[in-house]
Amino acid sequence: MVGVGMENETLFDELDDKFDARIAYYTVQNPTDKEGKMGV
Amino acid sequence: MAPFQIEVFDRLHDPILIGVERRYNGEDWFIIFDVADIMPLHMEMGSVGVSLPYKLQEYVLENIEESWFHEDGNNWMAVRAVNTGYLINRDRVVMRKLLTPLAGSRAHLLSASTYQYLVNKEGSYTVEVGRVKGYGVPARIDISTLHRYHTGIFGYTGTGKSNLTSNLLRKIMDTVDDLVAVVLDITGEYPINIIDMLERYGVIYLDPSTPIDSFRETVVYPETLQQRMAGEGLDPRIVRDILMKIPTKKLYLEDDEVTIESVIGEINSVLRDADKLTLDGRVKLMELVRSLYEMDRRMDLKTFKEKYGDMYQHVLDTLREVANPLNQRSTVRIKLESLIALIEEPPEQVERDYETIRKFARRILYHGEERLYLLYIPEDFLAREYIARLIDEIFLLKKTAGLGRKVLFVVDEAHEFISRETRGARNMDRSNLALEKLFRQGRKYGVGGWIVTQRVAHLNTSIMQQLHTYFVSTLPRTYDRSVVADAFSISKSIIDKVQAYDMGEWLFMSHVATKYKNIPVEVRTDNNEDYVLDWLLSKKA
Repeated sequence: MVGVGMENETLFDELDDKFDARIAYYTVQNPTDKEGKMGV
Repeated sequence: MAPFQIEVFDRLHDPILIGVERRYNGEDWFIIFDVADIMPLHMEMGSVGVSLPYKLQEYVLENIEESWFHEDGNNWMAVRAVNTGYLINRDRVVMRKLLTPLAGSRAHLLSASTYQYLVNKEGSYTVEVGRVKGYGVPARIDISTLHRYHTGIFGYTGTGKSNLTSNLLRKIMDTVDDLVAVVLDITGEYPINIIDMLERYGVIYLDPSTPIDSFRETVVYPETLQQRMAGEGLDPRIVRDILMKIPTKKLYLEDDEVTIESVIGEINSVLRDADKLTLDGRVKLMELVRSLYEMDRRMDLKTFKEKYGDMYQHVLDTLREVANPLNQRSTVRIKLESLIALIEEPPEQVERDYETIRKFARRILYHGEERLYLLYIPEDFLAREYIARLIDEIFLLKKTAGLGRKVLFVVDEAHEFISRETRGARNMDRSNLALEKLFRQGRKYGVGGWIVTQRVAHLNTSIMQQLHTYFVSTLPRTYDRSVVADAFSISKSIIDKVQAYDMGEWLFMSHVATKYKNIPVEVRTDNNEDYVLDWLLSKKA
């Protein structure tokens, strides 16, 4: 994926092209611990 | 499913933010996550167990071994990440919103510039505190907030707490011109760590039992600095020679100055023997005390005589009127006459090589040309008494005599001053109360505090709650980490990352110093020893 953002600065890291991830699950363990897991 | 990418996998070991696609209110956003940990997985891993015959295990494991570096589509990685509570869109609009991501949504690695956009603040008080781990870009924060809103620095022995503290102190003193700092040191680490600042605008204060000469000989050097100094051919005597030039005074707890307050004290002690006074005398003295209470009670008698002549004369006349009718041998009359003699001939204020807490507080707020005061008090119970008295005096002056300069208190080994465990620790109640006042009320009066400690677990929680910025490095005890996580609402998965930190690496979070609050910033800070060594070398030249 090509970086998108303002002017010359990109929103995404250049390695994002190789990071084809999706969110697999999301749990709320306590109000300060909101974790997500991304599988690739 | 996509092939395992070793390059991405390795990069994910260092701090990086992830944006998870999320449509919200008809617009495209990315929920920002911070990576907590990562695990490589292969589809055949599940079949490997202790009961699988060795030959089969070997066959499977050889397959797996090869797979990491050849994209065979059988492996993947699980990334565990924590929701930061922020959304960002493609135009870099940021919104504070704790939104739940939807399973199947795509996730992206956010760039260094996005990270800087979220963290870095720009303004006249902005300084670089270090480089962000992983991204390698500068972390720029508003350093003035570290004074205005209180800061905590937590890390086990050897993580570089005093190194970071000295480094931050130099940055804040260089940036905030009208700030003065009081560093409370019980270990003797600071004279060398901040020697350049002490030489420029500092004074060292010692408790009366510490001989000035032996203090200069017993300065504690960080081992690494000592080695580097030896490597550069720097004789440790250069430090002693510089310390000789820095004004060094003894600090006494008790006051030796005769002030209006002393007069009030004497009159009150006469009033306690009220049965020896006439009713008229009693009433006159009580009225006198009332009118003296309305004046600046810290004023010395010479100033009182020069500036408030009428009132001064009224005090003398009243005391004489009360004393004269009394029997010449009565103790009350003797007391009153010695008080009259003292007021008639106020003692001259002489410049001494020692100072009392009361004068010291005034010097800090109003009179001092210096900006940095190092208090070296090696006895912990005495240090607690000193800090309590000094903070009380500073607040009293700020409330009654004018705000004066902004003050930053740096309390190293803070567990010795603000522990919840007060049993058996002399003066702990007093230092707790004084520091609680500093951390609760300080912001209104321009007084800030930094607490530096390796033992977080038993700290006074009222004080912990007042910290708006904190730096955390390795804390081996689980309980210490969970206390930090609870006190500052940080995910335990994030705080646990500090276990793998090297010296000089810090997890930094702030409600005020970063552009968006509470974005975790993992930084490698500048090494204070580099600065001190260069400075010493320049002195040698």
